[in-house]
Amino acid sequence: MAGRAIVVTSGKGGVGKTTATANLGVALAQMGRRVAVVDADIGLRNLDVVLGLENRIVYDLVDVIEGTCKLRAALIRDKRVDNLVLLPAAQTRGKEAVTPEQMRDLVQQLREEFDYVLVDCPAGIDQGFHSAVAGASEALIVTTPEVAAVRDADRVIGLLESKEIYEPRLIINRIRPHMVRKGDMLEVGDVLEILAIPLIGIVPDDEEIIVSTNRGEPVVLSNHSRAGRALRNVARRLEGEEVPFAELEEDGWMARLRRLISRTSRAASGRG
Amino acid sequence: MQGALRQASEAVVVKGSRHGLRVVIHEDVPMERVLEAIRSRLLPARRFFSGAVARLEPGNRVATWQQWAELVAALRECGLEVELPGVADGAGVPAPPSGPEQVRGSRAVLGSALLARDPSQAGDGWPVSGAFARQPGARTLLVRRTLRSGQRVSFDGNVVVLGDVNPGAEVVASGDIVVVGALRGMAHAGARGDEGAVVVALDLRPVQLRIAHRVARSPEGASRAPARGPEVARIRGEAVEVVSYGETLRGGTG
Repeated sequence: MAGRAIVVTSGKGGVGKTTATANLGVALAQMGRRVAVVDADIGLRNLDVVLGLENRIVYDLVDVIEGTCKLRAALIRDKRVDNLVLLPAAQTRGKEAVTPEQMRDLVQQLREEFDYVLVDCPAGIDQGFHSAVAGASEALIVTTPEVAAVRDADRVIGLLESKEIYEPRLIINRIRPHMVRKGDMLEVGDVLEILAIPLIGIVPDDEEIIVSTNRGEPVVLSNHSRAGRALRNVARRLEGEEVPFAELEEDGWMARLRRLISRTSRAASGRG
Repeated sequence: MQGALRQASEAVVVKGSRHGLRVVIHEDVPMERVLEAIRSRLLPARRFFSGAVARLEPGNRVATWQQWAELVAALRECGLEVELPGVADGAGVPAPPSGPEQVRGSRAVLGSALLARDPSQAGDGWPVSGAFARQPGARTLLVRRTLRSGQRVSFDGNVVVLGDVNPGAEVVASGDIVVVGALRGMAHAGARGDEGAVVVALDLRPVQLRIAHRVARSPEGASRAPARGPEVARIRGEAVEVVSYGETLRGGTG
């Protein structure tokens, strides 16, 4: 049975597509799935960097499409988890090096061998976008709780509809609970009201993401990161598991203290 | 006596011409007589008229909207479909009056009367907000989905959206725009210059709203205000005003 081809897209750049793709790939592979992550951002490749595999690249996606090498030769095995491979983008070529038809064939080939093909889409809605989504039958939309990011996500959802990719699912990235509480940031509900697609993940803003991205160590491998936990939950939901959305609950001693206080005060008022 | 009879028989005359049937109403005959004449003289010929399209010539008579509605309904009973010159294109039809005042059988009045199938239901005001009855016969485009950023619908007629219009999306219509959902993008009603056009939405909070040649911006920083319920935007004087939909129902459009 052919695997699932899922494009990770956002419209706006810098919202966390690549980080999400890398981490979902690792998380799904850890769950025992065979996963291929494809960097479709030709000319601006960085999925390899986030995965820490940059120094292993010999061939890339454009080499495969132009017939310079076999698909198998270009796939890079991950150094930490089994079952995960990366097909890197070309760095010295442009987006016009790949057509949507070529991409569709390529993704089709990968689907024969893998349970998941995750395609990291470039920012924007030009040819790079059209190629990246060509082979996909599902989509994950990554956005941040900012007006500009939400508007671009909305645009992309509309474009996906025209490509018959319906019901994409939404990852809201970089939520800062204290800013939401102060009303300085859009709330999850505000974003959902506009985009009106099913939610699959809420990822809190987490400095560990920056550290892990720079080191090439996906954050889902860390047990301490809240963002990592949230992304693991996204992977579980992709697998069809029902995982409650508890991502916004704080942890650490301050939060525990706050919970404790509210609980005791509730108990006290209940008694009174 | 002779005169009165003559009057009654000439109260309403159906004439055939190269351009089809014309229904001519005598100006000086009271409306009750006209209705009587229609029922006594035209109703027996109902099967003959059935489905025929007739042009109504109301003359300079004045009557209440209710009476005009009864007149149109009576003609319908006789099998005549009333056609109004110029109403189908809808261009420049003013907002129709309401209430008990006497008005001429203008295109707007007759057009709205045509739309009100059952005059007894119409009361002395409007069956629905004048917004919806302004351009009977005008084409309406039904959009059964949410318009997302970058999507645009433009139509010569009215547009009804069953869904939201998101920020970055645009709806342009030569007639009215009705959004059964949240309007958060840009809407331009009366785009060919019809200042009587309106924009109705369940949650009206557009980035920008245009009616005919007027442009209204949403108040700065009000984007997070709670929903106020269905609202209507229309031109009043020089400005675009927004009132609650319920208010237009109670107050008519006068």
